[in-house]
Formats: sequence, structure tokens, C-alpha cells
Amino acid sequence: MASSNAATHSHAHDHAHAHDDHHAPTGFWTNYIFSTDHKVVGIQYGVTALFFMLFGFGLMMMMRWQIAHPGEALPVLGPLLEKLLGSNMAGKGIISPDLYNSFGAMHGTIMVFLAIVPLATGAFGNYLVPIQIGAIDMAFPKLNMASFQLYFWGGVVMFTSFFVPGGAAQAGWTSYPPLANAIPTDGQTYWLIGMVFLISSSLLGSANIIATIIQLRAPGMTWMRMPFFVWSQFVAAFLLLLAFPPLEAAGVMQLMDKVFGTSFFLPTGLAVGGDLANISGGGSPLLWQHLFWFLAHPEVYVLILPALGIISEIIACNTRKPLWGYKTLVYSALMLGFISFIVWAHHMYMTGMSTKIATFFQTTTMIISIPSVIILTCLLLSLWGGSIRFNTPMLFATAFLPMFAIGGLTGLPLGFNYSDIHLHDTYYVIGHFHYVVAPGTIFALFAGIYFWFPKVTGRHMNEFWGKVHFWGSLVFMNVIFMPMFSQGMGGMLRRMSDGGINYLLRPELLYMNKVILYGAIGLALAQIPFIINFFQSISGGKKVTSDNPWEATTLDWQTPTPPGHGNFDRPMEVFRGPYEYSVPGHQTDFTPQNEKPKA
Amino acid sequence: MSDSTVDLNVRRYVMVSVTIAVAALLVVGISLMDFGNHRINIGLSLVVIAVQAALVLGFMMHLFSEKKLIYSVLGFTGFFLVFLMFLILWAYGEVPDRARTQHVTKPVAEQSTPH
Amino acid sequence: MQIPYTSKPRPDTGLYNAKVGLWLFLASEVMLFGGLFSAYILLRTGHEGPWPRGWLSVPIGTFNTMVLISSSISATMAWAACKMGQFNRFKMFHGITLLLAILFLGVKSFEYRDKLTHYWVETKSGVVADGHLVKKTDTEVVLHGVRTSDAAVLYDRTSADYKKLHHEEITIPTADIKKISNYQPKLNIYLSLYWCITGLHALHLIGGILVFGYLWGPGSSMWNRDRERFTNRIEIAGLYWHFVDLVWVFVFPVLYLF
Repeated sequence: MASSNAATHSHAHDHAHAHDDHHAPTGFWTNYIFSTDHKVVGIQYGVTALFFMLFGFGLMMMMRWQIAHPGEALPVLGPLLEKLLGSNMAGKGIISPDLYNSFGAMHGTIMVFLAIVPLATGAFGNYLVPIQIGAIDMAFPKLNMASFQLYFWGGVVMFTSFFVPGGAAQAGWTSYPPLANAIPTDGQTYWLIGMVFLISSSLLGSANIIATIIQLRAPGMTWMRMPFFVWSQFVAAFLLLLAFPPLEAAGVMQLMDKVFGTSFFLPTGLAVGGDLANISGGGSPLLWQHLFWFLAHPEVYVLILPALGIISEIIACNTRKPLWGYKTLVYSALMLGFISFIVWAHHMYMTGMSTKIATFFQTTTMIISIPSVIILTCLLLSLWGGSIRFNTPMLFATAFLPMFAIGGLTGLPLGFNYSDIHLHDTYYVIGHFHYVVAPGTIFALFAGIYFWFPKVTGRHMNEFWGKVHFWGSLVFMNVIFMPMFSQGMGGMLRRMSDGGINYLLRPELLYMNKVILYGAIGLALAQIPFIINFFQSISGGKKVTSDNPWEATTLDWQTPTPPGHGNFDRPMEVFRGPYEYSVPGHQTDFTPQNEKPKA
Repeated sequence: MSDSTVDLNVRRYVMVSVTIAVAALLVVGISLMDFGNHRINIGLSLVVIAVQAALVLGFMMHLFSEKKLIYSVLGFTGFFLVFLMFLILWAYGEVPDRARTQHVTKPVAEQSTPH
Repeated sequence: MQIPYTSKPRPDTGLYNAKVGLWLFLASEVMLFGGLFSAYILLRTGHEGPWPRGWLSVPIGTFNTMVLISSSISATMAWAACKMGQFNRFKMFHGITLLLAILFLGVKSFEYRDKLTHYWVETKSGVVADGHLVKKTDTEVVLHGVRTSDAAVLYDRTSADYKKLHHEEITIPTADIKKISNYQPKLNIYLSLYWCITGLHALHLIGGILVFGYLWGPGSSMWNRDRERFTNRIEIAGLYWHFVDLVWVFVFPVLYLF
């Protein structure tokens, strides 16, 4: 990294002015690998997360194929798996039950912790929050870089776990003891180490986002003038900050159980494989469940809140009107975050808890549905009377609403402990949460990619292929997840490598496995135009004709394209709220937040 | 910050620290006393510990003179922590019968199994 | 352009960035140790059988407590020295804090080593022996400690029954040994919790030592470039340090005394 004389001189008078152009020329490592610029970090998170999402998707494809064709060899990939993972795991190209379980556990882990949350908070959050509040970077840029590195290497650890003897973790993304401990291989230990990395990354990142929002808002950017996207990131960051540590504690304890032979979660008298386990006992498997779900419930709100934020921005911009009920949205998001901490045991109704406890959690769970419905209603009402532009981001955003509604409503029978007795651990649950996350959050993330792509790259993604991607994804996601509700109600249990036949009360529902497989293949095909579109448009997409191609009001569109160091070409000052669209008497149908008022 | 105000604060920090140290010795002393029921020792100690914690937080970490924002963050944290502790313990203790105290000592293979 | 509010506080919040960041981090640490203590409470109240008590050296623990409290004072003095512009005084107090921290760790590692040389032996004849290892060969194990046929007595070492036991040199033939283990984490759930909680606390101490070390050494050059920002860093480091002390305020009684 050569530095010129001019650069060393300019460093002598530090402080104040924009000396960006006088910085010493920095090399590849500082610019792209160890960058402290929040935009670069955001892109790093984005690219890595999308890669992991594709990988997790691949795992799902293999699982669905195996369920639809039990006992048959996986075409093409079967022999490859056998070569990579050994004949124990994938003998004759058939996914063994152990391998199926590890695919299942890692699909969940990768999608939640390595794909969706990093994309929603690490990519979108890091890139957009500073810009939308008018700041030049995050409050702690070096910490930002550190949190990306922790995420990346945690992902590497998780990925490597597939290749250790015995394969990756097999006890579900929930890693329940005693099973997680009883499986004698190292994959689980790798999973735990990976989780410690990821949790640490998340903690640093969330503290950074919160501190940035509190401290670095531009002059005039009051709390109630912040775009709803920023509010959603703020609440999500708080959830991550306060809910992850008990899981980190539990993860350390489970790691000690695996590595040092302790029994934090192993009860006295535990028998494994017919023999009394050689442990001290005295532990509690339920303790793990409590500590895990204390995080994992707020975690699902971390999955949905940034998505709601993205959808809000896109809806406001593409209806050319302000969001309906901004204050209501904000208070609902805050209430949602708060209550999410006290509902966790609705994941544990089947653990033998008394009706008193179940009633408590049932009540809080019902209460938390209120702010969710309020937010959805506000967004729906925001469409009313709007001059809607049905571009690709808006298509995803409007489809999100009914899809998220289905996901949310199907959660209700799970929230009542009485009906949950029948539905717990069935495919109904899988249908429910995938509706919220797949045509829910992932649609919002797609929408966000199409929407902000022009700002990040200076080029539009192709609209036609975007619409193909949209319709394909929408149709096939429904083909995949809708039948799961029936299967679940019919008794098909989840996490069964045989597809749940043993517990199925209505065998005539088995054929749906094939339908779901075709849906999955269709969904995979529908992603191909997206992947090609994404990469091709970076260099070959239609160039933007202005810095604000969507004619949006928020500060992220008042930057040069792409934004340089320091984000803005002049200091930002904010004069109005974030959604001043179609203000009567105004020349244009939008008024940017930083536009000076006319006298 | 003027020199004299800082000086005064230093003296206060030292006094508070000494109090914390004395409280620690008090807790040790309580543990040596016999009240019949061990739980009383624990209960009394917890009271002293709470005072110690308040002193560390309030004076050494100058939380008593800190801005409202920090209070609210910690307030929420404290609330969630209490809920975490309380609900876990309540859920553990509140079970339909005393089943949790029974455990199997015979290996599973020796018992008759349905299949 | 520089990121604002790194030294001067932001007017409406009254705080500078690092302080907000640190308190947020400390909030998450409260949840971390809170989760551990929740686990402790649950595991202890649900425990069947006697709970180990008096297994740890209270004098050593008390000494360490005093070391940590003293280091809190010196950390605060270091910050006060910065505020008063006295760099040399700052260096002295900051250095004292570092040394006291290293002393704490030294005492802790002595305790850990002591645990690993302390053995619990159960014989086939129903006798339980507990003490420090003198010698271990292929044919026999020699401990300096106590032996009893009623294992329950060995749990509460503050009880009169335990105090009646003689400390002597005990030789156990290897052939007679049913179970032998030192005081590693997996011996019983109490020790698991002890190693886990004090281990994590020690890790936090090490982290603190690294930060303090950096600020004492290479990081102190910021004193000349941006004095106020440097002072803020010392304040933040001190706050973190007080938190480490705060955790110990709970850890010491819970593990050593209760």
C-alpha cells in the first residue's frame, strides 16, 4: 500500500473538513476485505448472505426430493454426495436418515442465522440506516468491520461442519439436548462454535445500529421524522441485543456438555442407546429450551421487522402517498418488540407445563398478534387511493401483504395451547412459519434488492425478468407451502426422513409430497432469472437517469449514485417527515426530506 | 470539569469503594452465622449484595447521574431479565404433578417396550 | 468528514457515541450473566440430593474480591487524572489497574490448578475419599484429605459432621477404585457451574486486560492528538471494568458462600 507525500501531509491537520480525496490510496484488502465503510460492509453482508441462502435452498431441494422418493438415489447429486460425505451418509446416493437430519438442521440454521437475518439487518440495515438518517457512516465503523468478519468466519465454521466425520449438526436448528449431546460426532460442536461467532457478530452489529440511530441523526431528523424502515431496524436491533445473550450462555453450556462432559442439560439417569450415560447428571433439558426460545422468539420478529420496514418504504414511494398511520406503525413496532420477550414458551406447550403457565403464554401470544395486525392493516390502508406503480419491487411488496397475513393467521391455532397439542411438530408448523418467512420476509428482501439496486450500482435491474421472477416465486411458493397445512392437520410430523409416514393419520395426503417437490423445482427455476438479472445488471443494466429514479422522499435517494465516502455531497438537514408525497400545491408529487422549505 | 469537583468526586469514589469492600466482608460474615435455616443466610446476603450492586452501578458507574436514555435501556434490560428468571423458575416449578422428581435408573432396554 | 460526537456529547441525548455503545453492550452482558444465573438458580432449586457448599476457599475469594475492588478505585483514579490533564498520574493508576487485574487472574489460575489437583475417589468397598493428590502410580493413588463411608457428609463442608473428619494421608489401591476424578467441570453440576461462570468472568477480565493494555501502551498516543476523546475512552474502559467487578459481586457469594 503505497502512500504519497501529499497524503502524509494532509494527515497532519486531521479534524473537520472533507479530506476524502487526500486519503492515501488504499489497497484491495482495506477497500474490499477489511473496509470500515458501512456501504461496503453492507454489500459484503449482502453477497455472503445471498450465497448462504442459495446453499440453504439447495439443502431443502435435496430434502424434498428424498421425501418424495423415499429409498431412491438422488439423481446427479447422489453420487457426488457419496463421494464427498462417505457411504455412511449417502451410500448408493441415497440420503441416509442421519444426513437428512443434518440437512434439516443446517437448512434451518443457515436460512435463519446465515441468510435472512444478515441480509435483513447486516446488509439492508448497515447500508441504509446511516444514509436514511443523514449520517456519514455508522457510529463505530471498525466494529462494523469486525462484526462482518465474525459473521463470515462463523459461516465458514458452519459450512465446514458438513465435512467433519459424522457430518454436520443433526438435532434441528433448535439443538435440543439430550439428543444434541447424545449424537457422538463433532458436527454439533462445530455448530455451537459457529453460533458463538454469529451471536457475537450480531451483538456488535446491533449495538452499532442502535448507537448510530440515537446519536448520528442529521439536524432536523427527529425520531418521528425517521423513515419507518429505520424504526424497524432500531427495534430489531434491540431484540438482537437483549435476547441473544441467554442463548450465548446456553450455547457455552452446551459446548461444555459436549467438550468437557458436563451435564448442564442432561438429567440424572439419562440412558443413551440402552446404557446409563456416564455423566454426573443433575441437569435440565428444559433449561436449554427456555434459554433457546427466549432468543428464538424475538428472533422471528427480527426476521419480520426489517421486512415490514422495507415494504413500508416501497409502498409509500410507489403509491405516491404517505403511509397510513405512521405513529401507529411506530408504536405498534415498539409494542411488538417489547411483548416478543414474554411469549417464548408457546414453543414449549408440549413439555408438560401446567395450565397456569400455558395460559400465561397463550395470553401474551394472543396480545402480540394485535400489533402485527395493526401494522398489516396500516400498510393495507396505505394502498387505498394511491396512484400505484406496479414495478417489480411493488409487486413483491403488495404480494407480501396477503402472504404475511396467511402466515400470521395460521399462527393462531399454534398459539392456543389446546389446538397446539394436535399441531405441534407437524407440517402445519412448517407451513405457518415458511409463509411468514418465504413469501413474507424473503419477498420483502427481494423487493428491497430490486428497489435499492439502482442506488447501489447506478443501474436498474431488468423489469421483465423481475416480473418473471416474481410470478414464478409467488405461484410456486404457494404450491409448496399451502399443502403443508393439510399434511400437518393430517398428522404428518416434521423432521422425519421418511416424510412422516409413520405418524400420518391420513395416508392419502402423502401424494402431496410429490406436488411440493414439483413446486420446489418450479421455485428453483424461478430464481434463475433473478440470479442472472442480478449479476448481469451490475454492468449491463439500464443506467439510471437521475440520482432519484423512483422519485422518493427519503434521504437515501438524495445522495450521489453510488454514494461515496461520507455518503452525501453536502451536510444534510431535515425539514419534514419521510413521506411527503402528493402534497397539495407542491410542484412535484414528492418533497425530499432535506428540501429547504420555501420561506 | 474543574479540578476541585473532580477531586471531590475522587474522594467520593474511594469512600464508596471502601463501603463496597466492607459490604463484601459483611456478606462473608453473614455466611458464617447460623440462623437455623440456610435460606435466611442467603436472603440476608442477597440484600447486602443488592446494596453493593446499587453502589457499583450508581456511583462507580455513575448511573445515578447518568442521562435518561441510559436509564431506559437498562430499565428494559432489567425487566426482561426478571421475566427470564421468573418465568423459567415458575414454569419449572409449576407442573401438573410431582413427576419431575422421579427418574429412571434402570436402562431402557430392560424395561418392556411397545415395539 | 469526521463522525460527530466522539468527544463532545450530542446536545439532545447528552452523551457521546462510545458511552451509548458501551451501555448497550453492558445491557447485553447483563442478559448474558443473567441467563447464567437463571440457569444456576434453576439447577440448584431442582437439584436432588445435597448441594456442594464450602468447597471453595473463602479467604482466597475474599482476597480476590478486594483486589478487584481496589482495581476499580485505581481505574477511576486513572480517569480522574485524565480529566485533570495529568498524563503521568493517569499512566500510574492505569498501570496499577492492569497489575491488579493480572493479580486477580493469577490467583484465579492458582485456584483452578488447585481444583485440578484435588481428587474425588469412590472405592468399590463403599468408601469415598476426597483430597489433594500426593502421588499416583499404576498400583495406588495417594491423597491428602478425608475419607468417609457416608458420601453425603462431603457435600456441605461447613457442617459440623464434615469438620469432624481427620485430614490424613490416604492410600487407595488402584484395583479398589470405582470412580476417580479431579474437580473438573464434569464431576458434578455445581463444579460445572463454577467453571462455566468463573471461566466466562475470567474471559471478560482477559478482554479487559487487553483493552487496558492497549490504552496504556500504543493507544495512549491519542492523548496528544485528541485529549478529550482519549479521556472518554478511559472512562468507557473504566465503566466496563466496574461491570466486571459488578459481576464478581454476585459470583463470589453465589459460588463461594451460598
